[in-house]
Amino acid sequence: MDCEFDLGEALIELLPRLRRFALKMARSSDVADDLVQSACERALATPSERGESVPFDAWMFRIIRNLWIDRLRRLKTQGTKVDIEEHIEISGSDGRAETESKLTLQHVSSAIDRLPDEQREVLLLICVEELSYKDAAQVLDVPIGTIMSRLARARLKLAEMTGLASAQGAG
Amino acid sequence: MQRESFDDETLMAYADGETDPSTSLAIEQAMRTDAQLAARVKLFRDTSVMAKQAMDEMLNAKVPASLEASVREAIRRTSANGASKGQPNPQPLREVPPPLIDQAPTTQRTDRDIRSVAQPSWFAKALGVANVGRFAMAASVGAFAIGFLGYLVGSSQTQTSDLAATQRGIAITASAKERGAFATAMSNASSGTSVSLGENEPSSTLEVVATFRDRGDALCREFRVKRPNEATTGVACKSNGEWAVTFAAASPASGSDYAPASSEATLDAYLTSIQAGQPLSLEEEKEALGAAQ
Repeated sequence: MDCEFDLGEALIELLPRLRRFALKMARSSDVADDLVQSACERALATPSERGESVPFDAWMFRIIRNLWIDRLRRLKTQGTKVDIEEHIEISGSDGRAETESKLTLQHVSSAIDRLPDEQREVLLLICVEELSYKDAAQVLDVPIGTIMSRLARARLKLAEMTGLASAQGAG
Repeated sequence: MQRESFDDETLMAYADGETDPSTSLAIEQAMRTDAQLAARVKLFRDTSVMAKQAMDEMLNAKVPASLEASVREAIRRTSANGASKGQPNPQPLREVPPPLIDQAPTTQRTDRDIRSVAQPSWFAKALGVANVGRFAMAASVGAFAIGFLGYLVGSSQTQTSDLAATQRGIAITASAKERGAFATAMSNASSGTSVSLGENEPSSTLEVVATFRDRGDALCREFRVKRPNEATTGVACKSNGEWAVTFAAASPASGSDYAPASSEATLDAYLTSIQAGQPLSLEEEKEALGAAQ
């Protein structure tokens, strides 16, 4: 591992992206902040567990994602209904009159929220966080082929939901 | 001229720069004469750009000061322990108060290392190392008391709230009667059900949340005890025929049904450290509880 690498600094620098990822996964800001904090503590406790070929951001996304999956499973056994709509938060609202483009962005954002979990996470990792297919496969523990089919479905669905694909035939 | 066909995934991979040079070249050639193909590639490119733009908006929102402060505090503690630069075994922080009365058989899992060899992935390894320090950190931020406790007996359910958490410990069961009710519920109640603990305090309830196995294959159950002024989230594992509480985090009762997020986080860290498996389904749970009788 790089001797110059300062885990603490790297974490602070990555915080906005970690929080964004957690927010879009959990769709609740309380839970998201909690996931991010737990993930940072875990990374600090076991820094050597990151494989050498694993990008730092991918490792952190993986920790957050697994914490979230654990929690989701527990919520499910508790029979707690996770109400997606109620938990969606619109971020970046700053009181300005909202421009059309901003509305569009929010429209896209809420379309992403409505994607099935397994499609949403792949889309976030690859299109938003710009991980390679290979790194995303490692984050999610699935073969690259699975990554590709989920990602393609996610994008076609997103195109459909946002009206981008209205004139498109099916392949 | 022969016309190659490309499936959506290949076109998408091309749009993402993930195809090998020869495939890229073939697609580029095909796109020159096939407008539909080009439009398909554009669709994949556009969706990616659109998603990124929409999400980049979120980076403008400031990270909540409380979150940043907690993370900085965690970093500070870690580096104070000389573990910030990637030493393999960070020393546990020494913030966990020792158990007050540990009557249960030893509750630390002694089989911690049995299976760790068989964890191939870097992440599984990351999660495999139990480290008390993490829990201490989580606890110091959120839930006010935490420890690896056996049953704590006696009249700790006292009205005096000025007793320090470390003096009081976490009362899982306040009497022999409660202890009996607790053990019975652990052995019999299905996850998702609540039982009353003892008769004197009808408002004290035990809710069994989920059942799972730890990495040593011990049967464990997550539970919550709600009392008038305190809620405790905990885990008990079956050890030598007894349910031993291996983890508990208490927090002041908030009136809400849910444990505060902070004690959830602490619990997450704990479950990870014992490599808790997925919660059993109700059928599996029934079978496991039956077998454990």
